[in-house]
Amino acid sequence: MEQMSLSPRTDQDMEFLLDQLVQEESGGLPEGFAARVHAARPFAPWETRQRRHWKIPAVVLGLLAGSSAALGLAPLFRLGPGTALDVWAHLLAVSLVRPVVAAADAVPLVARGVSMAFGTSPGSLGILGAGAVAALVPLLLSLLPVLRRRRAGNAIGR
Amino acid sequence: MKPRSDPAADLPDDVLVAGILDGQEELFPVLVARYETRLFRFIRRYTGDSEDARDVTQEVFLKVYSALDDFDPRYKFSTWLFRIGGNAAIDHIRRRKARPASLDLPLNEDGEVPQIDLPDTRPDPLEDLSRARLRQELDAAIDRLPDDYRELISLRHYGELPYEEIAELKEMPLGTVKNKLFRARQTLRDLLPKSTV
Repeated sequence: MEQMSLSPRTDQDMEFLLDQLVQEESGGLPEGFAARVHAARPFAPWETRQRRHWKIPAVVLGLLAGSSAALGLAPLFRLGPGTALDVWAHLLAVSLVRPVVAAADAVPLVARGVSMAFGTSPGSLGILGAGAVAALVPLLLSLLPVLRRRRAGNAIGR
Repeated sequence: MKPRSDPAADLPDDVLVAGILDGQEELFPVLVARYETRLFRFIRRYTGDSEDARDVTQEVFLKVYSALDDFDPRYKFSTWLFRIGGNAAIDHIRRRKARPASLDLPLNEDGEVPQIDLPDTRPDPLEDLSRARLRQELDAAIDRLPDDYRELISLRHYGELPYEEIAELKEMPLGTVKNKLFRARQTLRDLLPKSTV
């Protein structure tokens, strides 16, 4: 590195001296800082515009809609396909518009339904369980990337 | 830091930003690596502490990533980044109740002043001593500069921004930036002890 006088006389000398002293400063960023920042990046709002981020939610929604149709329509079909679809659509609309109220109302009904299913046919409980797992697994999978990024973010902060 | 083998390392900032927004997130570390040292030094000038500066630098890059679609490609990416960096550094200082920059070295785990092993590239130890003292005096002198001068010196010499980008960032005519920086350096020279200059 080119050395210069420690007595800056002109503006150029001063500029050069400042640049040199800044370059020589000790301490800095750890190795691999950029990669760690990359790993810790949050899920940005603009990322939702990318098609690949919609794949998992689309699968999740599809599975939820499918399991909801299967669970809801199966017992209702005794009323006839038209009525069954109508009732299911109304239930879906209520649960989407007022999800918290619908979820709260559903808890005792689900418990009653499970006990009735177990009372009449223990085998149907397995089918219900499998349906619930099929709905939960993709939901958890869709949360994994977010959780992984958050954990990396916490690690870099330490 | 910049890997020469990576062709993305030569891409302009706006192309990198467009690529990231288009789903090529692997370009983000290229952008970080390009500015990390300059942004870190710029922020450290404000915080006076390397540890705090590291945290704020990381926070700034994460903020930038989240708001990347707000970046207006008509302007320079660096001016946007350093504006966010400056604001984050000021916020940090406010949060820490304007803790002044210490000229003392932090103590190590044993409670002693650590020995710093600097590479001995210069033959004259007296010159090393003079430079270390000059650096301390320069730091103290920059702290005593008026706010606008100090900010310009930080952007120019710690952030290594060209005059044009500083003019864009500060929304000042280029001539004004050059003139102010000239006067800032002159004031800085006047503030240094006579034994130094």
